[in-house]
Amino acid sequence: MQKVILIMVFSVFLLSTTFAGEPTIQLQKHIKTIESILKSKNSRRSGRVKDSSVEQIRQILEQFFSWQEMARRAVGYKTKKWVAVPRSDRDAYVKALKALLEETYVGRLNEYNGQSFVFPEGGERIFSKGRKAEVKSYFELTDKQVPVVYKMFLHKGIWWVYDVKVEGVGMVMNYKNQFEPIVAKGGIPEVTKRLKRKMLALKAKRGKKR
Amino acid sequence: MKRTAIEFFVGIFVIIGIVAIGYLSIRLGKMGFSSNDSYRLTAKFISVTGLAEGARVEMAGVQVGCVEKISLNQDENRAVVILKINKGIEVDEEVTASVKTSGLIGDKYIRLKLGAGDELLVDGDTIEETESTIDIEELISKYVFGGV
Repeated sequence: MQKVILIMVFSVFLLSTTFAGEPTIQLQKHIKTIESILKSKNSRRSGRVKDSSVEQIRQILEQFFSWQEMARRAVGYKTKKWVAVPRSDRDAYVKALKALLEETYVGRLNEYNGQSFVFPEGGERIFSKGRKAEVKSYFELTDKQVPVVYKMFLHKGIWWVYDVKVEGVGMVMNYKNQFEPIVAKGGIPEVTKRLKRKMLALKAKRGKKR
Repeated sequence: MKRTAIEFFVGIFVIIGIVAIGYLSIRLGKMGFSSNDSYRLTAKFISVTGLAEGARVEMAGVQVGCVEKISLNQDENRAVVILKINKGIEVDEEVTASVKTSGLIGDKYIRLKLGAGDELLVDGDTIEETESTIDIEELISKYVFGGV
């Protein structure tokens, strides 16, 4: 009898820890860590975010941002089809997409000026039988609030972000619209090739600016 | 005795005729007795201006169903649209439903764009991702008076 009560108490406890606002709590924790890295005085050298701080942010991103799931959705593949793609092709594509996104956004970190993310109450919605969630937040600029919505899925107790929508424009949808025609023609290796080409162009452009 | 047999057969024919007419009118009127040939999905929009019941539901430009009912959820201030999707059309849980216009001034219809979700939606499920009608007046006013 005691055993039964113990299990009951334990399961209720477990339920409460993975229920009520869990996606927001987990996300908020990571976002706050990134904010504190950027806000700390020794994160910058002559206005630019130091490489070591960028690396720290990158490591935190790995803890809650699922590059694999984002990349899979960007080509519109379901898991079954995705898994059928040779692993080396998949990895090369995810790596190229990640590199391009980092190249595009890491430079923007320099513009960060102490703004913060606000998570409004009731901004969380869990759906798909508790496997997915949508968390609304606002990025506070001096003159306006930019709505940022995170799409997350639950995997082994951790909520992972797979899509970010800024002002109603979704990252996955944006890439999907561009990638789908390419995938239809040349498959995932073709997308990887294009991403690498774009990456080189961006780097060349940045080189010129310096 | 013979007369009774004739009357009996005439009666049978009349009944068959009435059943046939009934069946035809139901088929032509697209009423349908049961929902065996379709299933229903719900989608909530901020606005569905111009969308009418019976409007087309398209996927890659192909009609896959129609709008069955449009109602208002006053608590959330959202338009609730019930879509009737043909049986056999698979819609995944990450599908996006948007209100679109055919041509520049054509009729409004619902476009479904499949996502990469692993689970399929079944009868009675809700489409989570929706895009509402683009309100031209709102866009112009934003341009004239400036966005916030």
